[in-house]
Amino acid sequence: MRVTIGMLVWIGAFAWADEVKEEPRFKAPERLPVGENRYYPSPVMHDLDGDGKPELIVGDLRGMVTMSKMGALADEKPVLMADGKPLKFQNW
Amino acid sequence: MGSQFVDFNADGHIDYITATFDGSPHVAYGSKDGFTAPVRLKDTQGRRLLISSIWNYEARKHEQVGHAMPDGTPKRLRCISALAFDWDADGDYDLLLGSYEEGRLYRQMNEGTNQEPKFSGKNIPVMAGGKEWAMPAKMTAPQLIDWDGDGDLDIVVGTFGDTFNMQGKTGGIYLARNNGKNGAPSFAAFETLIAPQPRSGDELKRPDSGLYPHACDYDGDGDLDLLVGGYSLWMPVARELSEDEQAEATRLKAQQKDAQKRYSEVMRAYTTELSAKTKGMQRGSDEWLAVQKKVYAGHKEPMGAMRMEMMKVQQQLAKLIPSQQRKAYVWLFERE
Repeated sequence: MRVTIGMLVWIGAFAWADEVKEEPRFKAPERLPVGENRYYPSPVMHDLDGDGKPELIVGDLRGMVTMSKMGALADEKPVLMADGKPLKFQNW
Repeated sequence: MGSQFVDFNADGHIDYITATFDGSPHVAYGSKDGFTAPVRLKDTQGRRLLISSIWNYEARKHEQVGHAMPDGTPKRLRCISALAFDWDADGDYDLLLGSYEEGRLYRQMNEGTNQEPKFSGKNIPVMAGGKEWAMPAKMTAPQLIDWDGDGDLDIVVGTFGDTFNMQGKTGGIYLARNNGKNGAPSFAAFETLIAPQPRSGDELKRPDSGLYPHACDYDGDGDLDLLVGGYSLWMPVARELSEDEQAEATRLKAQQKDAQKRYSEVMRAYTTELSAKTKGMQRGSDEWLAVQKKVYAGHKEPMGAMRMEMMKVQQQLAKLIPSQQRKAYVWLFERE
């Protein structure tokens, strides 16, 4: 069989494709009922109350922090400190 | 602000680490009863940790200081993210400090222990792909996570883009894989997880800027999804107005114009009086601030009333003629 330059390029392209890492694909984003009306909300999953299940923690630009239980995300409660006051990080 | 939960002082209670726009990392130490009031971390000389730009609470103004910069030169780089990370695997937490401007990432080494940390006060640039870490669309908060399951911590991070202007750049979400060894992390060039997308157009579809990502297995199916806090900017389609509605819109526009003109006059009166009464004073000084407070008190009521009037008119007008929408939400990007 006669091997042409075009065939070599075609085979080479496949070899290169094998080396390229596949980008992860994500479904279309779904809006969650949490963190609305906040400045620059930043979500984190963490088991804050130690019940073995993670909560959704949301911080924001003003330094406020809330937590929501999975399955009841819209029920956001301020994260409280040991003295019962809401946890707030200082921001100018 | 990002959020990291680690036992930073090794007392058996989880602590909460973050950084705010004041330019420094903060920690709320945990206790058996919960978190205590947040404090700012300090270096061996008792100075607050920082990159360069900070809000000076005592002087009540923004400042740029150079002592923590690698070459000692102040630069417009504000620390807005902080992560505890045992960079050199010596058993104590060092810190990663991220800047808003230029999206830089530095490490600051702990020369003490977790119980008695001694932060060097000097920032060392973190590299990504052999270059100094930089994200020109401004960096939100990085997250340490073993993205590829190889046993070391990689970094997932977002960018801001333009969170105000629909014509501005949008943000993206990126991954820097750690290809180094324990005690010698080495981050590869950024890979794109979520590429910057065009704005949503005329409806709310996705977050497009100010993207704060958090990788986690949200749905428990064994792979990492992305939770993303971020802004969406969109322009709703204008509907056809009846004749009465058109007349109402015209009336409201005129009212809006008039209110803006009166507000400008109120503002001008305030700034004119302030300039006259603070002549020769250093702006932002205690003396200047005391006078400013007094002058402002005299104009506060009319300024507040005018702002309220303008807001009401804008709300009524928006029901007839849509304006740009800008709202922040939290979204789930589920892995396929």
